[in-house]
Amino acid sequence: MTRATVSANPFLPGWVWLIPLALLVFFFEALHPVGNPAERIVWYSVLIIIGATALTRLCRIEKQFDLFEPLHLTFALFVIFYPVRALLAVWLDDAWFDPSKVAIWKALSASALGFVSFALGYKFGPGKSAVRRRTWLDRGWNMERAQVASLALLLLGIAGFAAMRFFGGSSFTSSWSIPTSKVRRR
Amino acid sequence: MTAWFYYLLWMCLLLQVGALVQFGVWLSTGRRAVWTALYCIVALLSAFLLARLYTVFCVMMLTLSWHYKRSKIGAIQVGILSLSVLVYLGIAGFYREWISPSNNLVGTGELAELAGEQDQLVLRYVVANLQELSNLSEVISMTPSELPYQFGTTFTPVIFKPIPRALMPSKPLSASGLFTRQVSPENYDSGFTTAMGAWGEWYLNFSWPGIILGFALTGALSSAAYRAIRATNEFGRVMLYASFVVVLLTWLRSDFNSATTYGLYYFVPAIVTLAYVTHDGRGPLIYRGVPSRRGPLLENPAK
Repeated sequence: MTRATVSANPFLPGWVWLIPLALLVFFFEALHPVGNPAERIVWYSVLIIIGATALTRLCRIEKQFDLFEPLHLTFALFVIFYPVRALLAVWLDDAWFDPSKVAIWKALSASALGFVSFALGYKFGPGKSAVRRRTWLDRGWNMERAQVASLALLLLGIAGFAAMRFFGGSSFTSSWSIPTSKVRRR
Repeated sequence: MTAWFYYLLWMCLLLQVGALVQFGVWLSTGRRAVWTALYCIVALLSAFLLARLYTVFCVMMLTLSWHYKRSKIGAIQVGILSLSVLVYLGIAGFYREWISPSNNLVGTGELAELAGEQDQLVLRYVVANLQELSNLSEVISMTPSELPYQFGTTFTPVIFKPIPRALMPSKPLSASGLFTRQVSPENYDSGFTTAMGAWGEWYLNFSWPGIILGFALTGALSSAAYRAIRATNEFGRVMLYASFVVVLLTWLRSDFNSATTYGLYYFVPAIVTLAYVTHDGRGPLIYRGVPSRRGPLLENPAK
């Protein structure tokens, strides 16, 4: 049993060495003083993406890739909202994005720090034993009741739309009043 | 209307929970396929009438249910789905602006030109909505000199949620509301806010320690939720996990107040419905668990 789980090679596999090496190269490229700020922030963003990818791989719970594991969802949102957004801002030459500003660097670093903390909390959070195995949720479904419930919810939903139209004139114009992220930055 | 708007919105979202329950019935028994398709289409259409975000939520909850109860979704399908969502967000954003009452003739001309350039559509309606980095840098530069640390007050609106603002005008503001009021008061007065993101909210409340400890706590909670769904494989757990994912994504994207609002919208009807359908004191045949493709395992509780 022990033989099956222990590698014969006393050294770690090549890819384990490759990741920190690649990170070091990117880190050096991102932070050394030569080059313009835009170029440096591109390196820094790429470094964050690679580091976050490696961390996600290390900290996931399931052995196989599961798209809906919270760590993967958080990784996806983090990458899109921060490092990829920074790359897009450089590429599109966004007016609000000034890589020479300290706040931009701090924001990228804060986002990376948040993701690292999330991944560590996720990895070292409550174990399997902390989760109760069977609850009332695991009782079987009464299918007749399930169909009654889904029909009731359907009718209530339609009633909601009708009421919205009655009170607001149109469900479209009503939904516009939902406070959403419409504000453009100064 | 404004006072009642969110209650009506909640009613509209019940359609999605109903579709999810019906989807669970179909996944369990394989029966009523046409009705299930109809429920799901109605739910998707209704979500489209509300906002792009709700359509994404609806698609995501149905996909998640399929993923855990039917067959796993792989990397290629994820790519196709993401691309479809991207195209949808671009087109739906364009359509919204086109039919907007504030859209004038000049704007219509510009939009008609825009419709011919798909990449510009995506830039305008998808990339332009990714405001989190911009807002986080703004929060970091203005806290605490212009906007003081909040020390947790942006997490409290959920406690006062049942009380209408008309009765309690001094209700605490959400992080996004507070930030928008500071940087763009005119937009805030018009009812619009900008998405701050969980990173910004933790920083606004507790600075750097907030980001470290807050995200570690969020990670631990997410881990517990995920382990709970993997402990057994019942559809009830999948339904609640789908609601949890909506809450998590909303918090990461927007703020804690929005996340808890969506949590109430989805968790409350889901829990009430599950309590009703799992009440097995009576009834003919009850399906234990969601079966594999070989067919359901039947059990007669009368025995």
